[in-house]
Amino acid sequence: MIGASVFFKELKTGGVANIYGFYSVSAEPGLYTVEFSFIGSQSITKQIDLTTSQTLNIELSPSAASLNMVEVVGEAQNKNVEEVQMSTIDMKMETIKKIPALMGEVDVIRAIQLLPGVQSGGEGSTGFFVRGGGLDQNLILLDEAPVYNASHLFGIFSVFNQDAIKNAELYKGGIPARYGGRLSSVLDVRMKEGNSKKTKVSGGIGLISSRLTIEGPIVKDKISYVISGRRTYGDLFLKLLPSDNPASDAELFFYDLNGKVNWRINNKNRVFISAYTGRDVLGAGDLFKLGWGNQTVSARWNHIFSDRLFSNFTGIYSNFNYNLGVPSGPNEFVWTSKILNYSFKNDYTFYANTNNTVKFGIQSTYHTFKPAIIEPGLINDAFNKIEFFNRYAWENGIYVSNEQKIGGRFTLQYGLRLSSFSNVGRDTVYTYDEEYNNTGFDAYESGDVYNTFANLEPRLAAKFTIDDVSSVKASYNRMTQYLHLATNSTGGAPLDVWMPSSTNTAPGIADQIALGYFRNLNKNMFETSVEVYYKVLQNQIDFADNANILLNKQLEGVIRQGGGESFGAEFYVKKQTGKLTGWVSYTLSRATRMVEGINDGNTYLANYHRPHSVSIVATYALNKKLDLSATWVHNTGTRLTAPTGRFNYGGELIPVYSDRNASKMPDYHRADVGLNWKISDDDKRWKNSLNFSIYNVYARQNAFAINFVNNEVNLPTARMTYLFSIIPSITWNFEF
Amino acid sequence: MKIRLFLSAFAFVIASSSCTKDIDFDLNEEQERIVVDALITNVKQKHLIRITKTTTFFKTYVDAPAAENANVVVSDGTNTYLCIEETPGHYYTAELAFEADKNYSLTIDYEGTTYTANDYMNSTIEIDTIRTTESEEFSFQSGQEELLASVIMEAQESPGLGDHYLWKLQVKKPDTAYKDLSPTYRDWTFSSDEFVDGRSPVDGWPIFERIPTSEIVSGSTVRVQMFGISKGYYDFLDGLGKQVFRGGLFDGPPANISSNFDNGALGYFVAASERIAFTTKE
Repeated sequence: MIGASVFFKELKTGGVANIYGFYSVSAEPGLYTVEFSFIGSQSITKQIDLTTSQTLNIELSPSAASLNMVEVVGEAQNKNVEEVQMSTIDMKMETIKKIPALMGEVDVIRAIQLLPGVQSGGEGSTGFFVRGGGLDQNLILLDEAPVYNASHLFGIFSVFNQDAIKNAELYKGGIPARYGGRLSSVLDVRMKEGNSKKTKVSGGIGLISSRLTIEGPIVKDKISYVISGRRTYGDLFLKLLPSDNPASDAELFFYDLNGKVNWRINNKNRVFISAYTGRDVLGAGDLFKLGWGNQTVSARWNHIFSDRLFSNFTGIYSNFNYNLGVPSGPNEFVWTSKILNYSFKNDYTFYANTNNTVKFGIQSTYHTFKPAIIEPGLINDAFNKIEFFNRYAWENGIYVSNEQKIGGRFTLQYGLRLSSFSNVGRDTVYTYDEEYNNTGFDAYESGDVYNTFANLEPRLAAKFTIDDVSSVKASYNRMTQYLHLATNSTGGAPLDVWMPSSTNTAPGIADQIALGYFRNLNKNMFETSVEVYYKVLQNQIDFADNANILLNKQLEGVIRQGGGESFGAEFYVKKQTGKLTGWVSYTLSRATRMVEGINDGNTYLANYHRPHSVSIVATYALNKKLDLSATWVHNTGTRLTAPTGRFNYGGELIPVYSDRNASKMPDYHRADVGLNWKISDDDKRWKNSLNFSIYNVYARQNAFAINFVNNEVNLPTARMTYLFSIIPSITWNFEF
Repeated sequence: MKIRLFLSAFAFVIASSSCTKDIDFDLNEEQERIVVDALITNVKQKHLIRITKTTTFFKTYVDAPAAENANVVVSDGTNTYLCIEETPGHYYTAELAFEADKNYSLTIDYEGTTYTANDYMNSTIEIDTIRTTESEEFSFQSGQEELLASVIMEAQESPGLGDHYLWKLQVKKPDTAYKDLSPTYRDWTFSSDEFVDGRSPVDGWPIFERIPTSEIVSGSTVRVQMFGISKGYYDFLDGLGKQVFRGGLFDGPPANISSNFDNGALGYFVAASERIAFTTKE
């Protein structure tokens, strides 16, 4: 049980089960009163005589409190004050489910975007930006497997199915040494483990999708499984159209399938295998077809060497690919692109003594990049097969860290990660002179390790407890990122091209310091925090002015690298108990870039620079069966480069542009409301509920894009594209 | 290229599934800047340097306002050539041929500011012949196969990468004056030697394609101008395309096209070797 706690009353010390359900407390031999407790379960208190080595298995039974109350108890801990880790937020699926959802699709990433320090990519986007970092700087992990593109339907929804996910933890700063490979954040998403006692079925029917989850024991208390699926069905309605309507053979859907099997072999060994596959399909008969998706598999063996030494051996596979083209006819072609990796991890936790917890481990990943293969159909002679060179790389990391308690008030966490990245043949690498002119290419044989980067990444965190309800924390982290996402969009478009660092493109480096004050009020009813951060980025990529981005074999020749800087202050107040719960967050920030050759080499604002960002999330329990919820967000508008004038050249009217991102779109704001109605009583085996959501209650037309075009009477005009007006939705959920 | 066409169609589908609205948008209208369209070549003629000014963006476009009374001088480092303003904003050199393989500079004094640009006049290859062909092509306007004309150039490209070319086309039908079939940028053809380096393509170089056959009738004289241009100007032309054909999902961030002028002047000073070839349609 993650988060289950054990408390030695005599010592006034205890531990919380880690993410693998293990905990460790060091104590002198003697007689102790130990309390075991867990969210939503009745606490058990036992007398333990610690003179001999013994194994105690405590089974906690669910408490009589309602689910609503369960959550209140769960969040009543003063974890945010006590833990050394700062700049992190743990989101439970139960909390996320109460937030009003777009089209009824409860979404982890949309919930994350409501937190301080996290900016959304814009209307209808599950891309997110953490503390001035880019879209590709978030390490999104699903049971430890990286997810390269977490978006469905061009970013309107994320790939995380609400029924398959247990919780999501976001690290914005002070990132522990066990994580590496991205500059700005880690979003660690964990799948449910499955009920090991009895078989349960749950699901939901919504306006655009349906979900079904089955979980239960294969061998009671030993092996459990969970399988969860979701599919949208917009296209099924299109099929009802008359067959002469061109939209009747259109395809537009996505699906997700999650599965996990847990096997508790014995007290020292546990194994799980977790897998995900999901895909978007968009097509219109013979005209075109587009599909993209991720597949991940992770298998982990959890082994306890001794009471103090825990270990994990994890094998990981991840793959993101897309294909598009014309499915048949004289213009038939298919374009495929793929990034995939195999990874092995071995992590250890060593509980040295009461005051020191050491973590160390290694990770090795083999990356394969297949940027593009474009194959014409048999009768399409318009062009020859176009094939971009595959690229290969080997990424390694080794880390060690220690969390050390010094006296009763001070906790230090210090660690070091050594990362390396090697480009491996077979490869053909274009070479460029100082002015980015192609000067030829270097060819490498299969298996040639022709270029290696290595970086030391120190991580530091400190906490000083002022009193029971308040603490100050500080952290520093250096992160290195060896993969770059070549994209011109901020939203997570499916046509992403990931490229490795190489002889032409240096790895990105981020240094971040953060300082925070944490205070809980009124017996932990309110959790408050203020954090400030300052982040310096190196080797950020951008494109040369007017570069050819699409299908450019010499993409590295149009990449420009430069620095970035961001800083900000995050204010967060969360009410955890009572009828009214929720949070208010406000972020004041600035994010800039400076890249040689772009904007005349002058500093410019990043396009996701949003100086002011406010989110209010509130849930009000009207009674045991009805929950009302509402959110309101207000962000400064997205930056854009707008024309400031125009001129005539070669008979064409050419815009003159401002400095890069010197203008901004109108501010973004929106309110959503929701109502959860539990139709059946909590003690019934068959439970069902209805969820009503209204997205964008006051029908604000928020800009998705602004283009400068000529209108009907040929006058230049600013034309705003917006995606959503008011969208009501209803979802029926059931469980038995 | 068909893939690009497909992607445009795809972008269109996306765009048409969302809503648009024209809005008031405050632009930081900036100060007027001068725009230079200057071309000097190795063909004996009066070379034109046209100087106009930028206009505000949200405005009905009439004609680019001329920048009058400027002092305009071309120099090759040793000799200077003063240009005379014949009509507002149109400055001409005397009738002369500039020499290839030399660096030229253009200096403009206008309202107290001096603007300078340099370009190197590369010598260029010879055109062996040009000819016209006709073939059935799919027309996007009519949605049917149509007979369309092409102009093919036969030439031996010089070995070594780094040559860049610009072509313009004029046609004189029997008993009429020449008609410029390359009046605007979108009717020009330009290319680097990336795919033809050092070769003489077996089927020639198709330099103008998809011309309505009514423009090149029997007995027409076809005149092709070929300019050997610098890489800088080639990049400028390529950048212009990004502005003219802007609006897809796959555009990079908008950016100004780099001019070879200093002090914020726009446009380009081009020094190019010019070849002219003729053919008559049978």
